[in-house]
Amino acid sequence: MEAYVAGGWGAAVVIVSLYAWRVVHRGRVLSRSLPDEERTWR
Amino acid sequence: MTTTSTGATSTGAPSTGAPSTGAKPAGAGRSGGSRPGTGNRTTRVVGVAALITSAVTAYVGLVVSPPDVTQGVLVRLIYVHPAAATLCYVGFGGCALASLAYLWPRTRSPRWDRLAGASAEVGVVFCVLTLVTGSIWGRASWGVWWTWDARLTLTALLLALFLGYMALRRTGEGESRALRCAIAAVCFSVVVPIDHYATSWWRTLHQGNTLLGANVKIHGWQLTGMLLSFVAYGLIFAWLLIHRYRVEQLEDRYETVGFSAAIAARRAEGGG
Repeated sequence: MEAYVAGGWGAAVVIVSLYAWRVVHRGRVLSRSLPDEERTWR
Repeated sequence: MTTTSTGATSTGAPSTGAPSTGAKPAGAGRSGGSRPGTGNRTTRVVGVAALITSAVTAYVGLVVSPPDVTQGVLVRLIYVHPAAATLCYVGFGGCALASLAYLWPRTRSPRWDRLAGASAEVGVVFCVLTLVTGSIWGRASWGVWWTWDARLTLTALLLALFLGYMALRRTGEGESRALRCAIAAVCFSVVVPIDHYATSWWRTLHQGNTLLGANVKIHGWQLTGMLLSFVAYGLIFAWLLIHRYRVEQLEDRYETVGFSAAIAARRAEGGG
């Protein structure tokens, strides 16, 4: 039963972390594509 | 919209005459690094608060909270599953409210469209998390990973509908796309209250509300841990939503800059 608990908590950490990384990465890529004065991703 | 960001990655920056990569971004000196920071004061406060409350929730949920009389250690999943489901509703509900604000002529603004898109995407992430953790819990307590129970089926339907909504956001452009998406979001969000009340309206395998109603079913450290998990997930949701909204802003800006660059290039060709 502990394996299921670990699986549930692990899934929560992995899914949220991966999505957070993806959002930040997308923002950084887009920000680099804009001229300096247009960048709002600070 | 995401296609644009992918395009930015693969084709490089639009030709605006400004340095696209390698240049020190404005404001980099403030943070002291060569990479542009992703946070401001608000997101940093929310992010740190989310990390702290998540750590406290994990400590209370995995160490302090005692096993349940009937569920045993499986009760520790109550600190990850219900909060995810609630934030999934918040994401889709927020998308619907922002869409309504966009549809209302007096409040129509691209900001509401961006907020709707950001809220839907974060809601989809929490919906996936709900289904994954629910499936794990179901396997442990019911013996199956999935069953066509009303609550489970409606949650899966919500996920499918809002994945469709995200696909719709990638088709077309401008106000017609935003209007189409806003109408779709309002229609799709009708499933949210049906999903929530599914355990009351139909006989389901899924248990009913634990916290809502006159008869609260948990107490002590279990109740504390569950409430903490709602705070932690709420802060994580807020952090993700703010960042996702800012990515929407960048995508809109990228489209505008790219379009302006294309016009300038065409004019230069005509002049030459």
